[in-house]
Amino acid sequence: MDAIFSNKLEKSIATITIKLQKTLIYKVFRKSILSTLPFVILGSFLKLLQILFLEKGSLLMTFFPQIDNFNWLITFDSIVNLIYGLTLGIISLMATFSSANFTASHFDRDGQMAGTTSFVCLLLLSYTFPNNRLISFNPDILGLRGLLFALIVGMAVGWIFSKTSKKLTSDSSKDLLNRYLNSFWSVTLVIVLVSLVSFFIEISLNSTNLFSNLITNSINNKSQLAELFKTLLLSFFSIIAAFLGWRGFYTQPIGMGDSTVLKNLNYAFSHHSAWGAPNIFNGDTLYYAFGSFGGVGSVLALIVAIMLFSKNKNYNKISKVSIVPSIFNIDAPMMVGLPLLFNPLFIVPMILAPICSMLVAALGLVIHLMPPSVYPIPVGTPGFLNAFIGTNGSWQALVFTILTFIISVLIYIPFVKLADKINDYTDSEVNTLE
Amino acid sequence: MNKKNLKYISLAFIIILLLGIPIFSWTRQNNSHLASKFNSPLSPIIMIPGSSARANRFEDLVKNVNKTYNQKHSLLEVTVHTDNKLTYSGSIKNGDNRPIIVIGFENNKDGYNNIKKQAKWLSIAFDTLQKRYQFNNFNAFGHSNGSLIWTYYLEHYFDSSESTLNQFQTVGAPFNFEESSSTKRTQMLNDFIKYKNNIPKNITYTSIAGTKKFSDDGIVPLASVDCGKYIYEGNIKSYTLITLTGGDAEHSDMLDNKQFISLFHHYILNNGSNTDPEQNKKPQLNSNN
Repeated sequence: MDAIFSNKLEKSIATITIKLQKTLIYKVFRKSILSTLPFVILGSFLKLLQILFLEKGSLLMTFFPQIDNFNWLITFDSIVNLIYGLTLGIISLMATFSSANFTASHFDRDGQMAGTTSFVCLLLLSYTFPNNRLISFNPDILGLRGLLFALIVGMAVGWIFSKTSKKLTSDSSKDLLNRYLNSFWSVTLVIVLVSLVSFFIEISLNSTNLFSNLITNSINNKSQLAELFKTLLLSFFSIIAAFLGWRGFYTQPIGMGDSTVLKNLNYAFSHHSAWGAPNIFNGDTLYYAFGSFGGVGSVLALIVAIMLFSKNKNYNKISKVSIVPSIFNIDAPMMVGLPLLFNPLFIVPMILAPICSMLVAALGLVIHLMPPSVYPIPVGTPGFLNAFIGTNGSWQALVFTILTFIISVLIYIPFVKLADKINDYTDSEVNTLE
Repeated sequence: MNKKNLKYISLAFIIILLLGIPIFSWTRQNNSHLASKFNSPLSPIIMIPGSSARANRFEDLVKNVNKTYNQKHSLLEVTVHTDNKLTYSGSIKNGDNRPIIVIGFENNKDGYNNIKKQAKWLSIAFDTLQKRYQFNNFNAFGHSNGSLIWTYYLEHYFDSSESTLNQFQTVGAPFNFEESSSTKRTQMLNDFIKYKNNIPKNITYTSIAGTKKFSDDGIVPLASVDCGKYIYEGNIKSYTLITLTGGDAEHSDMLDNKQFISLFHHYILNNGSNTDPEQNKKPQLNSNN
């Protein structure tokens, strides 16, 4: 091990990472997330299709408003929407199945049955009790936002199976009737338990909003410094939440919620310039402009770092697939494919790169080297150009974008190299074991 | 460094930049289009009381209007002190786009010289408020001498490139002070007429005069109010003189007059239209993410 890792810091990070990678929870999470990859990639490209060409307000329709009412386009969009909803939209359902399956299999129990049970459980938990008779589910629990929750549910179901059902034996594959009946009590127990729970809780969405309101209300535009602090704090939580498969505040549509955005826009429209806008620190001026190249954690910078400096074949492969959606800030393929989700090594640069970029940008705003990004940005604009477009085409902002992007890439590079080393090490370990 | 991938990355960034060109030109156009027709959602009603009245002069009126029309205009009272400092009382509630702001003066005495000073103080208060609340359009209301302060302000301090005055309404405006003959013009009226071209052209102005016994409202002669036509008539988009008679039509009681309150509501709170302006004032924006 000493031969691979040059200094102490590297070695200790590597040791922690490798230890974490050996835990059951990490293995199950990683496997389950990866198992959804084809659907994620398909869904991401469909989303890309939508924001570029199909949906109302897409880039194409922004440029050519007259094609807005082409009927075939609307039909096509609704088909794409359906497929998107049943791929990326129910990613958590797939993950919970895998999670329960892998956990139960780890304890030599019937993984397939546990997976199916967990699948039903998540549907039960996300069921919203509507006034009308249509069956409806909370999309936030079934989509990417509910991933952590889904994985935990899956593991819990798998664990209950390990305690309440019998071990699979070699006869099981022949005696199918007994194999499936064997799970009956476990299935019943889990489903009854979960039905009770689902009556009492409203998860994910509500708690996220509660938290965001708490932060927004406690720091209510007292001073610019407080605003900067608030923006950094919200960005931080957004990244953490995304890392845990639990989407944060800055992933929701912005603008309407934050009154500073509207104030800035008022100012810019009445003064015909973004220079001197009253609120230079908010989600628009910092996070979207400089802290989210290619999605949460400036994933585009990671992709560039990997493509230039990583020798790992898998990393390179997934980066090449992810770069196109990532240009348009769709980060799901990278999150799931690398995976970045729950990846202890990459959480550090995922936070560090955006925060450093935002601080550099904040400095630039304070000493008036560039105007703040205040203008509306059309849907489908590459994330890299957010600052440029949001300032109504300020070259200074573009220079800052390039600068902060380079900073982000530089922050990612050592971690990419370290990841390569860790992968080499674990591979060699596996080889020697075999 | 991986050379092959470098090409791939460069290609990606070239695509980004190529996409940037149409987006950039479209945004430029869109922004200037939006800016040209942009009105800040916040459009306050700024009111100035007459001489010897304080900033709390309109509290009853606001209560009355809110009750009568079931509206919730918040009330902010600003007092400008002789040392140019401002003190505030009340507040603009979050989300209230039609708040009422009353600007009163510590020195609230009568006389042309004081009116000049008060107009200067008004400009200080106005600039501060505009900076603080970021509005670019507003309605103005003046009671008695408050109307003179507004007129002097519009002629000497108002910057029409910074903001738009939509509706202007005054009650008992003594443009010729207590003079009941329009041929005997005071110095102030002469000055007002002299600088009338400085008044922005797009104002809709309703001047309300109260009368009893055909001649005055107890204090201000009808003829003095009528002198407003020499300043405003033909000079702005629309000038209307309304004469109110009957109970509560006296100079100071006027603010309780039901007829007046419905005029105030129609012109000042509803911008002269029959529908609530709040309904069609939501700006349409496209936002990424």
